[in-house]
Amino acid sequence: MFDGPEPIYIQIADQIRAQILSGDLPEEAQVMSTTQYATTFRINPATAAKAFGLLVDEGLIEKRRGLGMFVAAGAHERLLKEHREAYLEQVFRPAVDQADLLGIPRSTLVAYLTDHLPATSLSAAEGEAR
Amino acid sequence: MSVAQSPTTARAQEQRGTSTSAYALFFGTWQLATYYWIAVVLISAAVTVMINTWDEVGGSIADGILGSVPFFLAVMGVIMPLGALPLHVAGGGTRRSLFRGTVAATVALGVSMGLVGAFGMLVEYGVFAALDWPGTVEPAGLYDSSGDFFGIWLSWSLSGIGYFLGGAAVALGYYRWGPMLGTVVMLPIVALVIGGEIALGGGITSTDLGGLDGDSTLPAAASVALSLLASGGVALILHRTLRDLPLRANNST
Amino acid sequence: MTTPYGAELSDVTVRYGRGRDAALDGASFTVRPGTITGLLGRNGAGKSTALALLASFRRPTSGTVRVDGADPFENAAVMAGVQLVRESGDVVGDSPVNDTIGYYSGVRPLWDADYAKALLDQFGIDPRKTPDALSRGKQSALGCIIGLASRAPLTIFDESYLGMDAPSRYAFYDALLEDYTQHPRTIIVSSHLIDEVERLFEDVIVLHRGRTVVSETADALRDRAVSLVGPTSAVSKLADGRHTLATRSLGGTTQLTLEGALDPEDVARARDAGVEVGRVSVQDLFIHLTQEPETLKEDAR
Repeated sequence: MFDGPEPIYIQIADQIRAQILSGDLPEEAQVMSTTQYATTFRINPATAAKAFGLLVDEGLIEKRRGLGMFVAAGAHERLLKEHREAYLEQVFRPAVDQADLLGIPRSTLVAYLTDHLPATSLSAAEGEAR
Repeated sequence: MSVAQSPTTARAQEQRGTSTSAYALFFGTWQLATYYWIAVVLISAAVTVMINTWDEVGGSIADGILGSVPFFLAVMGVIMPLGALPLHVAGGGTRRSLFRGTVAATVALGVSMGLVGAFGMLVEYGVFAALDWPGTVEPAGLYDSSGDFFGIWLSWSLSGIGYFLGGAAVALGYYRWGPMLGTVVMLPIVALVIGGEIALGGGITSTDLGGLDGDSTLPAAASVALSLLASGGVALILHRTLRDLPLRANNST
Repeated sequence: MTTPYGAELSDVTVRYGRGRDAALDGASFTVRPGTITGLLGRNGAGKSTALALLASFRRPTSGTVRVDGADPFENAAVMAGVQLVRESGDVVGDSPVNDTIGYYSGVRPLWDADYAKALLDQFGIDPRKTPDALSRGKQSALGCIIGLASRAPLTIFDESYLGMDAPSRYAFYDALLEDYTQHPRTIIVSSHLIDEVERLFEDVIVLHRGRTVVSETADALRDRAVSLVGPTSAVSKLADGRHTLATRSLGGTTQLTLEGALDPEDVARARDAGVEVGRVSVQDLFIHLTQEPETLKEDAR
């Protein structure tokens, strides 16, 4: 746990972001308080607070006075959007650039997409909804 | 400096340290003293019976046995304050308050042990008188018979104070300076305690000072004053030893 | 509630006797109020001496000690707020635990008797028994309980739980964290079991041979190095031009500890090359920082 090279508070924030993205932490759900997090995972409360502060700044979780910490409305959507944009910019674009470099025409790419990479039911449904 | 460090806080804290150590030393010593007194009573009674069976009772029995009170208090003085030292400082008490608490406990112990001893002597006096046995005691400066309750009480209180303080000073001296220097420091302490005893004319020296000073014995007031002065000297040595005493690392005493 | 105390050593030297080596030799460090600070060092590095200074167990030979801004020695108000728990445990060995607890409750202004009782229950200590009659684990636990129940604004645990078995130690860490979150105070923890406690630390101080070699946040300390594991060629390429702290190879795999941190792009590139990037434990950093040049024997554990 928390074995990555990044500072621990960043790893905590990443973990919670992943949980929001995957739906493990649905919107409006209550998140553990920093002290609960600290005592559960045996880490310094200041570290937990730093991670939560990061997520609050990003608008992913919010503190409701007297009640606790909650996943903000729209957090899931926002994260999904960020990840989608990142995917397109950092993964898809370089792949297309590489295709251009190899001289593969766009039509071949589109054909490959439709013929060889059928959509999964999930992405198909989302595509319809769009 | 924070609000928590106001002089009122300091004073309250010193008070806490003084009373906690005083009570602990007093009641701690008395827990053991209870057994001591039970033993004293039993031994006195047994010895009296034995002497009466095979010989004749020629004087106070208890007086002799109770000659061990100062040594009991000396041993307690060695053990108790030294035992309390790490606990006290670890608990946040100053050495200053431990000193004051020790002095307070010493006085209370001397007076209470002296009271019990004097009461015991009085009982013996009554019993012996009823049995028509003589109640002569070893010569002492402040009293001349086992019925002299207040004289005995005062004398043994002062004596007890000196011995308990002496034990404490010696023990802490060894703790601080080790075996060699500790022995050097022990000498003036012992000298002072014995000096106090001589002034009282009782205890292990058992002089009536008539022998030392020629014809006149010391007036009672002088005896008391000299004894207190001697104890004061011991207290001063204790104070200097304790004042900035570094605690040992491995908690061994 | 009292505000947590800060503490500071400035150029402190402590010599236990004439002609003996200094236990502390010009050591300086600052403990920030309200933090859990780790104090690490090898045997004889001067940790216990430094902590004894903070608790007024002794005075320095030279230099200044400040707790809550003042010299703590024989300072009644400051000493009232400092609780040092030593491995040997400052208790009365041949008297019931109740007597020792009673003494502390008499001297300590913030002592929480109910909390002490609950902890004694939790760790299975019968307060009518004497400490000498307790097992080593329970003796250690007693010391830790005293530290927790004191609620002192500066509470120091000097290797005080080494006698406890692992489950008890973790129960202690949990109790410590829980109380710390509800009743904030400054806590200093000195320990050899670094792996267990390092995540509790906000700040870390490392002493070596009587001097301070590290005094920074735990995050900053962990950023000092990064671990790479993977195919030797890939790892070597990544390590090119950077300072390597340690390296170990087996077959075609190399594990390398690199000084400094990697930025996210380097991390991504490394992972693409099949190299696992991880953090270096504080324990390993500690070993590296306190290595003796002659012998690389690791008796820091």
